[in-house]
Amino acid sequence: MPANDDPDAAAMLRVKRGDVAAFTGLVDKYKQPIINLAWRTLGDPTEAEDLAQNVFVQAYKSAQRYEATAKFSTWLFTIARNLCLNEIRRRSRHPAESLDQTHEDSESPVHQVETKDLASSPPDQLLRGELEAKVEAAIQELPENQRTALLLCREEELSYEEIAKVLGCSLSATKSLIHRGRETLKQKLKPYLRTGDWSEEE
Amino acid sequence: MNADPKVTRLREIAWRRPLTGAEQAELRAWLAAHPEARDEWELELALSRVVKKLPDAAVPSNFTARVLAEAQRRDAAQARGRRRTPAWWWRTFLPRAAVAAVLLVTGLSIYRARERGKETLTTVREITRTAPPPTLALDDYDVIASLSTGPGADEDLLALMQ
Repeated sequence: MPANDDPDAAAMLRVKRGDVAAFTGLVDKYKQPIINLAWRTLGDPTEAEDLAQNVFVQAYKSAQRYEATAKFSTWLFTIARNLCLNEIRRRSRHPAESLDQTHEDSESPVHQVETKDLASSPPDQLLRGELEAKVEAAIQELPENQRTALLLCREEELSYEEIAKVLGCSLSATKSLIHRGRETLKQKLKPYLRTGDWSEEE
Repeated sequence: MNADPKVTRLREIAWRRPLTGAEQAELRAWLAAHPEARDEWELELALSRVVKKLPDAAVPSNFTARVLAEAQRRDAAQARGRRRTPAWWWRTFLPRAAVAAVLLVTGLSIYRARERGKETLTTVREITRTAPPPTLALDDYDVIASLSTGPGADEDLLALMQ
């Protein structure tokens, strides 16, 4: 979609002219996918919320300089990915702070799935909860670029070309990242994926 | 990965969304001709469904309001920064300018002192080079010192000339 036909880019141009309602509309539309991406990248819901907040604040601050040269969602996810990468780099520079993660791990996507679904009694729910936890764990173990490519692939807003722009690589490299990520997941999850629960469309 | 362009296209669609009826029919027809790929495709489609159904992260109900408040707070802080008064500017600038001036004057003084030192050294070297050897200069010292200073001025002649 050309940027000119992008309603979100048009909304952002209204934000540039001081339209606060246009900005809140954009936050409402994108808060869920941005927090999802941050949560699965950082593994901590509080940090994910803070990071997502920073993404939107940066977008607001950049409104005056915003030019609708690309789709708004591509631009916003690029900000989100850059902030996630900064956070990952910051953690690797200050490994001592990562120790805090150990007690917060109870809120990671993997653990949340386990506690949420395994607590419910029906066996199919147990199986589903176990599978979701395994999927979350397998996704967390992927290299950052494969994980981000896979997670962005879930977003219907973004085409493959736009995912490539967010990742800063070519279209073929992007598809290769997704393919490799999925191959790893298939290998790790094969026994779970073969259960009837997931092999059929619901 | 299968290199057949038709299968590649269907696979890339399946990564993003469920296949439509027509696409499913296309895939079934292809799988009928390639039964060895059926197992792989079942895994592929199952993974797509699992990834698609991953639960969303919890979003606080006041998230949008928080974002807006933070954005406006930072905006206001930035605007305050731009509106700072000249008095503030001078308060910040003057101490720095004073330190810079002191450093400049000190530096200049040190430089000039060094230059003067160099000049003196050069002069001494020049005198040392051009002056006669000290022993020769002092050879006839006693003789010269004993010479009379010569006759005084002829006071009468001077008076006449006036």
